[in-house]
Amino acid sequence: MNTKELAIKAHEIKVRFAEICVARGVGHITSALSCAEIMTVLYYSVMRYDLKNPEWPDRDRFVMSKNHGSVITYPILTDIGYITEEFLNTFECDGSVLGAHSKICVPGCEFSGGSLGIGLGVSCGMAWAAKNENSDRLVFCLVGDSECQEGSIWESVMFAGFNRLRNLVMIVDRNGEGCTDFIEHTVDIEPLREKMEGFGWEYREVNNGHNINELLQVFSDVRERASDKPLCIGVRTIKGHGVPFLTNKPWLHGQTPSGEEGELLVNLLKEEKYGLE
Amino acid sequence: MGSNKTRDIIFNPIIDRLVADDYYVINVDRNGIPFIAMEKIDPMRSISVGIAEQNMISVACGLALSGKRVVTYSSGPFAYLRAYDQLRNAMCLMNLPVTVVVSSESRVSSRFGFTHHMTEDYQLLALCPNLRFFSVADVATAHAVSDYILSGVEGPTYVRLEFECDGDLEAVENPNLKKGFRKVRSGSGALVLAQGCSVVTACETAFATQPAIIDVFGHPFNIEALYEEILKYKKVIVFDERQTVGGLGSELLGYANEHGINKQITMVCVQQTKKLTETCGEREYWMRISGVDNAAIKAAVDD
Repeated sequence: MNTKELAIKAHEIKVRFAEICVARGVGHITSALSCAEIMTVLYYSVMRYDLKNPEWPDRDRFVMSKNHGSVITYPILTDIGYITEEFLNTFECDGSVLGAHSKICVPGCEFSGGSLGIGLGVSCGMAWAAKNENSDRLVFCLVGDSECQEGSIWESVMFAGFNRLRNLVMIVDRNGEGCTDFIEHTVDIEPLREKMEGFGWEYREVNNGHNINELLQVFSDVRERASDKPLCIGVRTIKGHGVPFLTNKPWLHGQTPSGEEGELLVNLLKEEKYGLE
Repeated sequence: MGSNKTRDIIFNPIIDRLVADDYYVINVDRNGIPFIAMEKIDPMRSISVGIAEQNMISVACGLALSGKRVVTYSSGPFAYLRAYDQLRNAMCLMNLPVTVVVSSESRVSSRFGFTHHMTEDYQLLALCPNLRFFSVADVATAHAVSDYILSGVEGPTYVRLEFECDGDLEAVENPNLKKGFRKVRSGSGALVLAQGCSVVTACETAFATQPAIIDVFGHPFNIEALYEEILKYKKVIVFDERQTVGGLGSELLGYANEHGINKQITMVCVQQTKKLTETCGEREYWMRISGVDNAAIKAAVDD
């Protein structure tokens, strides 16, 4: 897919995501909108997988550690064919496995999340296994910047850097907000570059995580990197991107607009032209 | 006085089959001689995470998700206390075939204080979905658990080893892992249900009349079969170096309540007191102030 096609795809994914969340009144809208373009680029341009052979041992792995954002993956998994539209429509219905936090029993999902700070360590184990098998598969792990306040993240960062897990790619969704406040007001993670490099990682930064070109650029050599270090990509994003009444309002974490506001959310995303011109 | 015998029973066969069976062993702080041996065989299969129990469990989960057979090893209660989130929400929730082996040297932990006492693992682990756990009281159980691990565990497993449980109890029954308990001593009048070190303590106690002693070494255990035994005895005592609240006794009484069984069960378990949380001493001192020594079980049985 080219840049324009990816931008259109991201747009479609966001709209579908908003529709299912508003329909059920559940979902971390703002957290998912900050990483929608990242996820689109990963699934449609970067990651290696085989729909005809979902258990292919050398497929890349994706771990959504900031799992409150995982609902954005459901329309993607539907679009690429892991799950059906009918299955997608069971989102948050009684008895459905398709919940606000993703589970390993969902086709195409590699990790059950919901508790922060665990996914990066699990990704380390996956990367270790791949390294010992001499497989060239990569492990991508998306963590939130406020998730980086969890101590267990730094156990894993230290472990991966020390053990030179070069097949591990940690993507930090740097939307700057936690549940209730901006992280610069709580415990900031800056200077992230110095921290990661100090722990033996290669660090890259994306200034605009909603710009498809910038994302494609940062991932372009991810498979052939010369470095033997794990790679951390800090991606600057906006929580609730594309929906003005949801941005820069930390207390909206985990909130799902309903009624007229829900309709407005879906319509705003439908009309959103960012990256499409 | 205690040794690493049960640890070696568990890990030596794994060392032998490390490469052939695709085992990975993760330990905290390169804990113990077996792990040095494993590193020599294949350093990629013997992973030290440093002193980082949370990462130990998370990395184990990632390896298991990649189809590996994983065993972790660490000392003290930290694998289930510090890493409880990872145990419950990653390892158990995803039903991953990871075996978590923890070891306690009770003689040492009594000196180190409350932070090192494993007095609530049963309570916490019984709440984890899909988890099987074992408390090893002697070499026979260690061998049975070792066989279970080597046969290829299908889900999350926790094994509690204690240095003081390295003997041969010459039990009247062999450990049957499906049943989860075994009779260690035949007796009359009273029945003592114990786990881990308390089985050893009960076996070493000189009672006026020998009670039957059952080692409830596994969880989940066959509770219906255990109640068949319980109802044969006039007096039933749960004897455990864990705290009373939420432990084996609570579980048994909950079942009795649900099934209309009217049977009193006396608890001789660790009492959380200021002495327990604030003082330290020899193991004998710890057992005395915790209410789980020979005198305590003798009084409960002979009374």
